[in-house]
Amino acid sequence: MIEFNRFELSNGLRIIHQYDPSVSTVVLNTLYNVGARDESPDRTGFAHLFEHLMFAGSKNVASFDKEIEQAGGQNNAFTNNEFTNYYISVPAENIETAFWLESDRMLALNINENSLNIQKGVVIEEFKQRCFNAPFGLLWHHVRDMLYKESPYRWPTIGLTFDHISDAKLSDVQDFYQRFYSPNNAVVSIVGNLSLKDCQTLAQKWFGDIPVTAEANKNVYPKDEIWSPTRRVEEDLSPNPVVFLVWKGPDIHQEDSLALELYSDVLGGSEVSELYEALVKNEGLCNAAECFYMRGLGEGLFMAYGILNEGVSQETVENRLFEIIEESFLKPDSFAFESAKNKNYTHLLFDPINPMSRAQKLAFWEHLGIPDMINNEASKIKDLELESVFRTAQKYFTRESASVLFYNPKNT
Amino acid sequence: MTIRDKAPQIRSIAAFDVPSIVFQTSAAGTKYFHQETKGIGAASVFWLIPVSKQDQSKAFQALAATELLLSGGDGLSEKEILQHIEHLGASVGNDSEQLFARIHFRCAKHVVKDVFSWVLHHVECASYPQEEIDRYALIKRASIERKMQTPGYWSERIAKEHLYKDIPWVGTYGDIDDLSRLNREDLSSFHSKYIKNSSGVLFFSGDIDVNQTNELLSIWESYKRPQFQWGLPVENITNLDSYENPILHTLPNSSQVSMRWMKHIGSLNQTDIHKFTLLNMVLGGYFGSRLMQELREKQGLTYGIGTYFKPLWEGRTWSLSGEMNSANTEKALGSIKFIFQGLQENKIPQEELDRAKRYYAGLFRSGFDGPFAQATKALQTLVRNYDTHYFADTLDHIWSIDPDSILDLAQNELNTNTFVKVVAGEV
Repeated sequence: MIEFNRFELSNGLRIIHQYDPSVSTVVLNTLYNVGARDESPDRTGFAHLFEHLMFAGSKNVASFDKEIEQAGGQNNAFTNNEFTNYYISVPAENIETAFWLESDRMLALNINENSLNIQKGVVIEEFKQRCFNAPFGLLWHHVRDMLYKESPYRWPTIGLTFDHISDAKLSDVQDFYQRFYSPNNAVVSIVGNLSLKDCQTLAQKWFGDIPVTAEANKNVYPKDEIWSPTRRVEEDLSPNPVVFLVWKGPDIHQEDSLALELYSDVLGGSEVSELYEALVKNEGLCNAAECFYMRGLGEGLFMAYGILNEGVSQETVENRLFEIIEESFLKPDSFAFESAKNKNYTHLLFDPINPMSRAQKLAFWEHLGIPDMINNEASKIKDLELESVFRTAQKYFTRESASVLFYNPKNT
Repeated sequence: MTIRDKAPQIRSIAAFDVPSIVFQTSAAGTKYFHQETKGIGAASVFWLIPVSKQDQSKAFQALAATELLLSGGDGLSEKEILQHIEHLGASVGNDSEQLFARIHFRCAKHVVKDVFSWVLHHVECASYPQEEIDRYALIKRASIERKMQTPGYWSERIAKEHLYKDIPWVGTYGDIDDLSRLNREDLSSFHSKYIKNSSGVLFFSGDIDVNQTNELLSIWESYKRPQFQWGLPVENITNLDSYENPILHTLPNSSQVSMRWMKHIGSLNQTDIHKFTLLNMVLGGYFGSRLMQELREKQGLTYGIGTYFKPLWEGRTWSLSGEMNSANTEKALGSIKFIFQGLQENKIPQEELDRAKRYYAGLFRSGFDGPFAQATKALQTLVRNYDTHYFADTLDHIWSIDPDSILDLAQNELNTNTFVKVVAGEV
């Protein structure tokens, strides 16, 4: 049982605190309610570019990294389609430095043409490194483009093209900051060797006087009311052809999503799963195969794929993927189901042991308004029943509702 | 109103109660490490076998023999063995490091004995069915071929092969065609000679009490084993070659280059380890390093550039790597050389060194946090041959290092011609 405390400052900043005297550090984690889905379609990749700018200095801090290192700590950040998360871990005796730094860049980020131009260069190199220089680098570009037409989920966090990054203007950056980096649009979690009293004092001191600059993000987005599955063929750096099947599903707010996540663990979450056994071991069609379910805040997505062995046709693997999924509904595997539950139980024992992971989870669940979920996740999974899980999967994962993507090796 | 233009006071970590990393020996002579954290319900166990690539007679033999340890045995198939482990909710892994093989698992406290017995039994009686070997070869080959599409794979491989051509346990990548030539006899003979009934050191951490530890030791000792003995690796390499120009490797379809510099650092005493570590940090070991600040934060040439000081046995591999637009290669090379030269010619400012020391000290202390941290430290003492005072003395060593000694080190070690340099990708 993880015991935590919550409070809110007068500017709307929500704080969630968990005291852990067994560690020598404190993690200060800040989640902003802004992600790639908040970008305009001609300025994609912007939330991620902005994440980089948050390290370029603020009104009273010339170098964020150097100050953290000086305090003996570490920091980094990540952005996804739905939120942006910054984290700092420092020795407990230097926690005030973390409050100073994080609050200063929430109050007054120092953005100028020079820092913007430099970070554009950095992000463009990141774009090339991730998307153009490795197998499957453009996978999420292709998948999202197939699944969505109107929704802002149609582009990946890194952005549709790096031209959008090149075109970013200082005024865009300033507007974005004013609009989303306001205290009422953030959650701060503080986990580690810091008492509640000290946490409250420091939070009030450093974050209490930061003014609200905009209304909190209401997270309203265009939706694809009508959507039909598509097929596509692309070239990729993968030396072997690949078949991907992709379905849309319910998001994290909907009960079904947890069942679908567990179903994906059962069907293709390990090397003894039915999917892997059939495609890789018994039939020798693929050299890798798995499936997973992504439970996002505004989307759910199920993907099953196989990387083909030489001489195997994509149509064969596509058909087998469908058949394996359909066969799973006819005779749900109760042994694999119990195994998946047991593995989840163990995973949830280990996951919160690390203060960083605990801080990120607390901020995430607080952002969703259900902080108790940090203690309830295990029982939610335990309560899932075999028949209901497979029935739920059967409802969503039909041949008719699947999109199909074939990858062929790029000619060298 | 909060005063923000002045940084809060910072305290340096000058000392703390460094936990003693003490190995124990069972009555039957088994060496083990145990750290108990009550109440978390989670347990981690791993054991180390002193066998690695240096013992193999064929490419990929050690790796395959280790990675296929649970591929069948005692009449059970791989599926049956792994299914039972999954049903217990455990995750198990086996890997072959440069100097040792490690079998590890994580599970809930109440199943630790079941998992240990099961995994150990099947490791001991691994039968290596040929069909599993063939499948492994296919899967491994495909996985390596995917890595071979990236510039980073080639820059690292070429640099390592060039530098460590005479030390097979570091420099041998193997021809991927050799994978398909592996057979049951290769793996079974390797298993019989080096893994079955091998000596080993065990590491127990998390929610495992003394009674459970003793039970697990009894199971371990029910197999007849010799005393643990490390087959000392041959690591002597003389870095006398001079490498002026980068080795170029063209990779079709890439849109960047991966730049890699690499050199070998011979056996180090413990003060030298910390001196090198600090110089490495200042050079490229963290976000505030000279390379990151200059090439990324000032010039925007790269997403990431860093230097890494990776332990082998008593020596280390010192490397630099970064990805960048090929048009910027010359500019980046020039900047890197300029930074190396600056560290050789000018004493590092005390403030910059203090920042690196504070960072290092913070990292060092937090490395002891958590229920599994001490087992990791214990593993380090063993595989890096640290003496018993290594951790206790670390902070004193760090704080005693001054700018003069860093300058000496830079003058001796940062001659750019002593690094193998590779540029791979769109060249």
